[in-house]
Amino acid sequence: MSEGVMVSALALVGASLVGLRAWGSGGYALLLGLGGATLVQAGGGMWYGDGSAAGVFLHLLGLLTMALASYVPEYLGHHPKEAPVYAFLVPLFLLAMVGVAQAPPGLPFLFFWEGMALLGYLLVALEGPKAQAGARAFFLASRLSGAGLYLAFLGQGHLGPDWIWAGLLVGFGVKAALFPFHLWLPRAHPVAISPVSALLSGAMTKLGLYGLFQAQTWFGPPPVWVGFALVLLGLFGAVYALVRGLAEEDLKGALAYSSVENLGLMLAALGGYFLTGKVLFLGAFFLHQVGHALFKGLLFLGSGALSERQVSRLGGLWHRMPLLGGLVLLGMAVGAGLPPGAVFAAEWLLYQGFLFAPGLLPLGVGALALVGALALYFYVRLFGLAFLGAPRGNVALHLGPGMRFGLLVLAVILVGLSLFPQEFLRPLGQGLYPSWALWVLLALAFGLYRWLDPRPSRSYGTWDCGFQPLTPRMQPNALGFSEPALRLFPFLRLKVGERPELDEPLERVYQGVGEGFGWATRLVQALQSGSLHFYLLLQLLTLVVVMGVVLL
Amino acid sequence: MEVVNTLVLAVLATGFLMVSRRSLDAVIRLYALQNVLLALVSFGLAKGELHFVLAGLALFVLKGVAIPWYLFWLLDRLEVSHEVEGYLSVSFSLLLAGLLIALAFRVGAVFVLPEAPLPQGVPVALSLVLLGMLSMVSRKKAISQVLGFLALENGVFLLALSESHGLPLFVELGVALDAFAAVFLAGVLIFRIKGEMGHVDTARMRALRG
Repeated sequence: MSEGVMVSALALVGASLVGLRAWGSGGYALLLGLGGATLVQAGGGMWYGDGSAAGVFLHLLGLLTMALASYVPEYLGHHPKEAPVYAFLVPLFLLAMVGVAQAPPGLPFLFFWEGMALLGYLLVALEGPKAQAGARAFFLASRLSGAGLYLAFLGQGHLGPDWIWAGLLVGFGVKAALFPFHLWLPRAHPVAISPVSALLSGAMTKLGLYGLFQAQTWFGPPPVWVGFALVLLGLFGAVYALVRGLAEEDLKGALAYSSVENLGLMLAALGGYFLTGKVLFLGAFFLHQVGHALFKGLLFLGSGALSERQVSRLGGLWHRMPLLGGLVLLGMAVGAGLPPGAVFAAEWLLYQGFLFAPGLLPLGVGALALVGALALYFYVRLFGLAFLGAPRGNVALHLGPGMRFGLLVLAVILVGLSLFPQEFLRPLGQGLYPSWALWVLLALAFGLYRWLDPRPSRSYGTWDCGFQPLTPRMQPNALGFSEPALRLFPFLRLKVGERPELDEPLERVYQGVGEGFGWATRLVQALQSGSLHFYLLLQLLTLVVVMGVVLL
Repeated sequence: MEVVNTLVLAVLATGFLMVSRRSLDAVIRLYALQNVLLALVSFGLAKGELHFVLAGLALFVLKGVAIPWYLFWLLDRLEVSHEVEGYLSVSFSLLLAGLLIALAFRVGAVFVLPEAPLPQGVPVALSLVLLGMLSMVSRKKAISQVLGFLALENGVFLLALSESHGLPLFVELGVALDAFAAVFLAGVLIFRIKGEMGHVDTARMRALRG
């Protein structure tokens, strides 16, 4: 472990201790900022030094921490409920994630992994009764993830690589929202407070990817089916999450589905790397991680400024707070994969990787194109309904200087990464991404567009057909906007009525599993009859059976 | 050695009889007898080693005298009938006891350590454990659970005695005191049960369930 990481760990411990008493003081922000800056520095050193995946993770974690340093104290000031507990737990959560990225494989790794899961659960559950379902989903997912990891780590040396990698795929895949284990994420992440959502989506999910990537050095190269599973499930999961996210009416919930989509693409990139060993996939994998952490952090932190999360009750925010609107627009444009955003760069690498891959892999390009189109639709809906149009109600906005600064930090770094992705990709070698050529192309396209379409335009209010004045409620509804797209996809069913409702068959599969488990536990409960003599009899029988086993 | 062998067999006989008797007084007396016999076994094994003698003495005083006396006093104070109430008839419990003893003797040889001073004691010790559990399982009064536990505990003591040259003295004394404390606490608990519910029938207590 490098000295920088040690310093940042100490700073984080200090921050959590300070947080318990005086989270509003400058000391908390300073310590958190120090921890973040040293993490950025140490992670960057590791990444540019020997191209380690842990370096990338520490780097992006440090960036998020720096943004949180100025954001969190002010945010907690507006949400004083349980503020000291949050201020105490958030640095510890960061520390646990640093530990996961630094721990050697085996029990230390599992210790930090479980600690991270537990702290994450606490941070979600702190929101009270309305977060209960989400917290429970988070907890169950952590258990499933833990089970897979124990299978892999304890089975090392006893089980074949197929079993080990199945365990790893479940263990890390659950955290990285691998389809069909992604259902917990859109439930758990949105219900937490915004800084925590930013950390969960921006950083914690990346540890699943980090684990899968590192596992090839811990457990040897993966079997071929792992690569195919990652590509298939990743791409399908990305499409699925976008379509499902189109039907999400909660702003943060929709952002969480977008996380699932981005993670799906990263998993597909990793799968492509496992299958072909191409650096292009690796570039996509790492660049997308950092880009996603930045823009998702920006969006989640931005949504923390709003007191309302239902998209259908927002609207017109652009005019009320142009700065927030601009920052969110930047985040969403990058998230939608528009050039020259970092996500676009990553997807560009992924396109190239798939196109030049052998066998059936080039087919993945089709799924990528679908994802790109859907992502655009997805973010146009979110931004248009929430920030444009007329306000649909009174939404309180809190965006003080501290929070603003945190958002700006992320935005500036995001712009930097988008403009110079080749700098970030230097450790992988090769000029992977000729960005100047792209700039020329973009300028040409824009010029061509203006030249071909010189029609004059004018702005005017929406025509009300002369019947009655328009009200803000006549604007498109969040589900209504996406209804045409939802009809196209068979894995979701829209029930049409006064209000459209959504039916997700995958959810029923999980419900069935849950009911089956409940049935099995009731069978076991039959043993607990309450009779003392029966309990004692079970002990006697156990003893007799053990003695019988000795005879064999 | 012959004497010790006979004593060990006598211990087994007391254990067997404890399953068959219908009167709690008789069971307690048999338990006292068993402890006296075990103390004698301990003396018999002592080849000049003091801790065998001391452990035997502690056994004699604590379990041979104090605990039976306490149990008799408990029975008087509780004002319940001195009859053993069980799920099984006498003949059936005897049959089961025979089967368990057969199992213990069949398995016992496997458990003997290379340097065991009293290899014959191992199956007897296992039988005592199994018989103690059998009487705990099949009887209803709370006090018979205590007696079953005590018999089981004697089995553990005999096992330690016959497998090794006895446990260290402190452990031995600690275990004896432990058993005494457990019985003492169980007595207090039984009083509370009696005061709370008016009976000491464990078969009627079924609230502890999942």
